[in-house]
Amino acid sequence: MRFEFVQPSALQEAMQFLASHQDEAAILAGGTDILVQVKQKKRLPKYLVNIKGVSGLDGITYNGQGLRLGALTTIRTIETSPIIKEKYPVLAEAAATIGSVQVRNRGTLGGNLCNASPAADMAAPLIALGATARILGPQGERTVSMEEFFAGPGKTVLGPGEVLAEVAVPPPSPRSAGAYIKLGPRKAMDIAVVGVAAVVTLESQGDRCRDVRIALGSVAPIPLRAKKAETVLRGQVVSYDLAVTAGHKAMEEASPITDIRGSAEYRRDMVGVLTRRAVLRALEAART
Amino acid sequence: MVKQVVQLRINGEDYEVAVEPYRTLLDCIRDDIGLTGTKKGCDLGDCGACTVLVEGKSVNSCLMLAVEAQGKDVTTIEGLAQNGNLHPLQEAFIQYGAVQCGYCTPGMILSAKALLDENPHPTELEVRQAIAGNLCRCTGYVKIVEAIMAVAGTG
Amino acid sequence: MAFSVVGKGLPRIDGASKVRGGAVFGADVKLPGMLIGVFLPSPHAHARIRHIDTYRAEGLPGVKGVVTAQDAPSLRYCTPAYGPSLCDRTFMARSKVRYFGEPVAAVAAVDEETAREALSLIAVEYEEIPAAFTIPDALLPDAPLVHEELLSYQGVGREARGNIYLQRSAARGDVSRGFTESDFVFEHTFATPMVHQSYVEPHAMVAAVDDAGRATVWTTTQAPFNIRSDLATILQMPLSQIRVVPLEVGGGFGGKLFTTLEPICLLLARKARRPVRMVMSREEEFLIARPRAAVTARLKTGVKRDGTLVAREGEFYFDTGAYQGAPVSFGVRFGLGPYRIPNAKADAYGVYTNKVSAGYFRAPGAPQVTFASESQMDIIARELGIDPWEVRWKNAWEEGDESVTGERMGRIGLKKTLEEVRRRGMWRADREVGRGRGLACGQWYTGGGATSACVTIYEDGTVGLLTGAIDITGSRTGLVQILAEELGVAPERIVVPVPDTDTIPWTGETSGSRITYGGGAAVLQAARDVKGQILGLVAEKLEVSAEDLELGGGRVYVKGSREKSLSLGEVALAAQGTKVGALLGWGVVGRLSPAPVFATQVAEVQVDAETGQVEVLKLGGAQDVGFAVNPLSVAGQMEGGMAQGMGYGIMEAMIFFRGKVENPNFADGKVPTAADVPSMATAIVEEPSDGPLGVRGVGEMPIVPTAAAIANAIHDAAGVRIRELPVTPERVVAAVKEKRG
Repeated sequence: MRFEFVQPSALQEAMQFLASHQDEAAILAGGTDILVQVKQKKRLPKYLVNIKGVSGLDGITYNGQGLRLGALTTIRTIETSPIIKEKYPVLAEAAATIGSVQVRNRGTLGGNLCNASPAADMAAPLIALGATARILGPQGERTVSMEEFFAGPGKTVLGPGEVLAEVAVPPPSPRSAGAYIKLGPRKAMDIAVVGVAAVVTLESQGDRCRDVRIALGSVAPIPLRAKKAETVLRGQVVSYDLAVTAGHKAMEEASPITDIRGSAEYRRDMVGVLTRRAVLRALEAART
Repeated sequence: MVKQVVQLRINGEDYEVAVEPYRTLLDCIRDDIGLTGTKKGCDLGDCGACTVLVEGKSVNSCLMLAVEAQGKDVTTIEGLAQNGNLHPLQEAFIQYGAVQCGYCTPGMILSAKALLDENPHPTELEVRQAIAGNLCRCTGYVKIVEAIMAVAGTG
Repeated sequence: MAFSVVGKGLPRIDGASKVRGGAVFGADVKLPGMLIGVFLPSPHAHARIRHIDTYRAEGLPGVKGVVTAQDAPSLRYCTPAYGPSLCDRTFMARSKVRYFGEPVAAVAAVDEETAREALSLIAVEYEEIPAAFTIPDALLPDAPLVHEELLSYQGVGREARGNIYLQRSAARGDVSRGFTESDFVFEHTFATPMVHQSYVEPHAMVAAVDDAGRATVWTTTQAPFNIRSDLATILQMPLSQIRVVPLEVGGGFGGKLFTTLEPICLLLARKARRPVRMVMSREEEFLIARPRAAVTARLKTGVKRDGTLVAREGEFYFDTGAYQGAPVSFGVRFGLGPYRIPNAKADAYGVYTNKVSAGYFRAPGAPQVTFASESQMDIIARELGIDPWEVRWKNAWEEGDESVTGERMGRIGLKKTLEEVRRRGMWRADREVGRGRGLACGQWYTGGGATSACVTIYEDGTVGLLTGAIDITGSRTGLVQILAEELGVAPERIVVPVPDTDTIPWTGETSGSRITYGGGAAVLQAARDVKGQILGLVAEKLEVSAEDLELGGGRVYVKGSREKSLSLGEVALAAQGTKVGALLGWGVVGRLSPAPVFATQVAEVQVDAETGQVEVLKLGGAQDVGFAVNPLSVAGQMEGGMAQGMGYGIMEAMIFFRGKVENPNFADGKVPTAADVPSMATAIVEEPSDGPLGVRGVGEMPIVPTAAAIANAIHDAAGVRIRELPVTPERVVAAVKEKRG
């Protein structure tokens, strides 16, 4: 493991360095992914750019506009934040499934997302919550929806010199709730074999589903929004059977691969099971 | 490669070491500072043997660069005993048979300390989740959990 | 007999140094001028080495030494202690590589980065050749041969052919007649994967050579004397020129019995003329250390309608990888289960494949074959409609029964362990939907290798114990308890330094759960020796007969009169002025006859039939330990063994693709975390052996039946029988699908 360590003190400086050393530089946030990749020689950056000294990328704020999570917010902070546990429990739930306490103490939201693993545990619930990414770059600022943030395994839409600054989550609608279900061989320390997040919003009265968003992890080149499955449910009173149908639609949308963690066939089957379960669990929570 | 000078406060003592930018905090603590109680089991953040506390929070020191610890307060296993007296967790680990080969022990105790500092009366499930990042291959965790619960009960 | 120290759950004597982080492990040794050594792994599973060019690596600044197989004599070796003595192994690949990762060259440099950079500058010209990756591949008539010259190797047996290097067989009665006389005959095939011991401490060592050419190797090992003899053989050095210093073992489980990088490390130190440290990375552990062998087992069993076993035939194929080392003979010894079988036949084969070389892992061979035999016992019970417990009870060995290998049982505790799991409610009839309970019995033995021990009394009355027995399970504490009991001293008055091969006579490796058994016998002998000297001296001083004296509280008393006494320190001091000189007791025991060990375990699981996820809710085990010298430590061994057995049952496996390990790390080479392991109940059964205090080996037994108990519980819960380990969610789902059609 060899690289030079760059410590910009301002965002502008960081962006300039990243823009001028595109293929040679990688960002160090929490380090729990990038350092592993460097040690395993999967990435060999010449420069590691530590952005922890840059101000304005940290912190959680919540108000009428919703939640704003700085890219440097640690996973552990998301897991334990009282406001997140109250307003967006699905985020805290998903955060708690990542690695160990040690990993969550270092790992950051920005790192989890920018590493762009199809299995990133924060991605699916954020997509399901309709979150957006605020991106800063040499050309200024832009906003991208979370579901459009990923471009492929290990790839995001970030251009040269661009940095993920913040993730914004809209305020939770009344009578809405989410669920994230992750499948792995162990109860901790695992990378998802399949992960499914669902956020359900009910009409102000009754059991009809006003809106639903479903996102799938580890079953496509990117964390994937399952729009066809959503269509099955939107505007309906969701029965068990309808949730099963939505699960089947989600299976059609998924394009899993076979690797050492699971076969494509098993993953696809599990998309069906987990989608149904996540929808029903979110529905149940939205009712109460 | 040019080394950088890093100031660290480890177990209350100040150290100044020159390290390569890619040197991990783990290697720095073990080889540059000479505190070998912190162990290397996988070097990839998967086993927890290298757990130390940085500003009171448990981290895998193999996934943190020494240069990132500049100015930080670090606690290693050597810093737990006070005036020659073992920390209650250290005592409990001995008494309850929570130590077998001893290789995971330093990291395990530090994870337990971080937990109890934050949550003095955890449930068994919370204990198990809190130490899930520390692999132990000898004990089956039963006596480790008992030892931590015993300290929590008296804490 | 009433004991005051043995039989008590004393905390480990090494506990304080370990909780402080002060215990010294292999990677903690640092010598002035020390270099870091790394090796170049083969990128092919099977290839001829045409040429190795190390010129550029040698020229890299900071590099102090580069070695290849050419730097040592050309020879093949084996470690006699681990029989069979088939010498097929080289310490580094010479003319060809036989598995992915096999060391081909090595470098010592001022730091690890430089050493690894140097590796990338070594040019090796390979010629890839066809490989045999699996047992079926390797057994094909025209299979590529892993060892073309096998038949010319020293120690090769007459049975060797193709890629089969070893066959062990045993039979009694007439199995074909037995099958004819049976009401039902069951035949199944079972498979288990290669699994790494996954101790948390990787192999670590430091080698140094002094000006006179004498070598010292500090290393994490269960077998310092075997490493010394391997080094002498491999490097053709006199044994007296090598000192091996064993350090604390950060988990071994059999994986640290073998010589790994020590010869390379020593060669580098010799070449660089500086001390060299080598520590395996976690990935290297998976590439080149010595995991548990994969086994394919075919079992055919004939039973009467009432469940009585009539005949059983087993064929066990051990995948040893590129070099011999799989525990083939244990397949024969343990493969048919601890049952009365009038007609029995067992054949086990050792098969070469182009994979990492297998070795020993806690009760080598037994967990593999027990998974097969105990799964099938469960199948039989369920097919016949008999309680799985009853089937075991009906056929379980008792005193006087004989195994297929002709071993005759003395007093054994197998049935008591069965009784115990029922008495304690671990095995019960009630059940809930989605949950299930499974039972399995298992057997192991207590090995009997030689041990040396030496006991001396210091002038302050403290006691020194030196023994060559390496502690991997807390055995040091047990030995101290035995010694404390015999000498009537407090355990904390005993010091136990870890001696090296220079300072203690030859002692066998720590394996076969033998330390408290054989080591205990040696310590007792040494204690009695020194006790005799103490009593003789005190009898003379106090002018009484030695028979009238007793030891207690660190003093020697005249029985009945507590005033007349001397402290052990006073005796030691007095000895210095007499012909005695120093109080020194010796104990050396040779090979003891092995004592059988048995256990019964029960697993409770919950199965999610849709996702295939298995949650192990409870594990309970009853084990015959003969006599529990330290019940706390015994329970710890049982819990640890069951946790490993659980990992073996549902998650552990080295995954290979064309000979390459695809999951060489703890992220994907999974072992259970604290969140996965359930609460465990342990029941200690004490049916004394003929050994010291009646002890039987403890450490290995508990891993043996667990995977089978879990697989049986899964069947109970979900109605599916998985005959291949590990029982992954995916395998459960596939079986459920198949069952539903």
